[in-house]
Amino acid sequence: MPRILFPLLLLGAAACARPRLTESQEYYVGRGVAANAIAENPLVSNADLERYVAQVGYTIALESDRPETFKGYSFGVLRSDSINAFAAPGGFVFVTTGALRAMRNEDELAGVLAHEIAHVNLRHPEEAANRASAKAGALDLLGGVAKLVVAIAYRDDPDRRETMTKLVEAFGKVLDDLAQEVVNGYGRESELEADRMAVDLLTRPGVGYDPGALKDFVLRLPPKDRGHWATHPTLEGRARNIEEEIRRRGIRAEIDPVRTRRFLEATAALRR
Amino acid sequence: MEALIGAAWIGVLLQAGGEGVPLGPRAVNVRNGAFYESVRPFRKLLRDARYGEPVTVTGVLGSFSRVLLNDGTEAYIATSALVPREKFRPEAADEAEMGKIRAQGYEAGRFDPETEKKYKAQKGPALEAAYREVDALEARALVRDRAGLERALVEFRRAGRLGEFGPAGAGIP
Repeated sequence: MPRILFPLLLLGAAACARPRLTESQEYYVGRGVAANAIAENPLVSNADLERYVAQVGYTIALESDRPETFKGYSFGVLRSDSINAFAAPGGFVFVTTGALRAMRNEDELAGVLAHEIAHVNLRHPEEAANRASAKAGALDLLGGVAKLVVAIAYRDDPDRRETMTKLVEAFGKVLDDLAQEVVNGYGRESELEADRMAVDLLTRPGVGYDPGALKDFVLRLPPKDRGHWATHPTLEGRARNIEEEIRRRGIRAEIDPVRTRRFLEATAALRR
Repeated sequence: MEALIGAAWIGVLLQAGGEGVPLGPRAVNVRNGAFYESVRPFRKLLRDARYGEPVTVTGVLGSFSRVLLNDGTEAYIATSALVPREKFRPEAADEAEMGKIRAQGYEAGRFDPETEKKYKAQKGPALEAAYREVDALEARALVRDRAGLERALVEFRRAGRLGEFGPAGAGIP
């Protein structure tokens, strides 16, 4: 064996040991999750409201530990009475009109968005995408496609066509698995972790929201929507977790009425 | 006060740089990314970062890297936006770019515009329409115009008494 081949093989083996989606692949998975969510609950066509939600979101996201994703964060409002918010891989963050109606002020909205941005920072959507991809065998397929690129010139090759067909099927399976997890939550420990990070993000020097508002919102969720948060810890458990984190960090913050006023103005159309 | 805050951040920077934080050549691995003149205590935009742009990391400050640009300018960029230069592989942002990248003999079907196109075709018009909504949402995402976004956010923080305009940032320019 030529001497140069051995180190190359070792490098190849190391690279294959733990296949992961790249940032751009995660972004395409995120777009798929976003499209499926929008197919079920359309985006609200209210440019002012979307801009307002996005400004609250960017205020937090750009101060976070992951201010950049492959194509940046996108914030959208979905028309749905269900009280929910979620983040898909790549930084697509959605909040429902039901959730906005249930909120009382901007600091509550910031709390909910900070929780979702925390998921993106902690790479929970990406980990879920990787799990779903592994389950669907998509990562093996991605490896297979890469090998094909090396082995054959890129043209309309029957082997490649077959791989492509399998890849599209796998893509669909990944999205089906992932959509459920993204919308319903990433598991109890991940949700608590996201709440703790949300407290940190909300109180960074460039931000300055009252993290107590997230606790207030969580405690006010109506019983019918608690089932939606089945993968979340109990709401009382979440509230305690947030409160402990606020105490641990020695945070004293207040909700400024000017923010409450602009929140009520921005969401007025939803309350008519 | 300002000098103290500045000195404290330089301390953090030097400490981080001295503890095996990866320094050296990197490439920008995100689109719509940005370089900042300063990031602590508050951000000041320098300019947009080009996808694939080479930089040299000289230090780390929290979630940002201090970098030298090709023209010798010192700037800050999110560490999460960088990859080691040898690991950077251009990936298509849309179908038009896909052709260009292919013409360089690089990249085949992955979770990319081609897979997405076939997936949409398989799922039918309702999902294709939803994808068009995603395209539109991304097209109007404020981050597409970073300078405009930063300006809008300063005004947003000022009006909402947040960040440098809130109690925690009072007195810090």
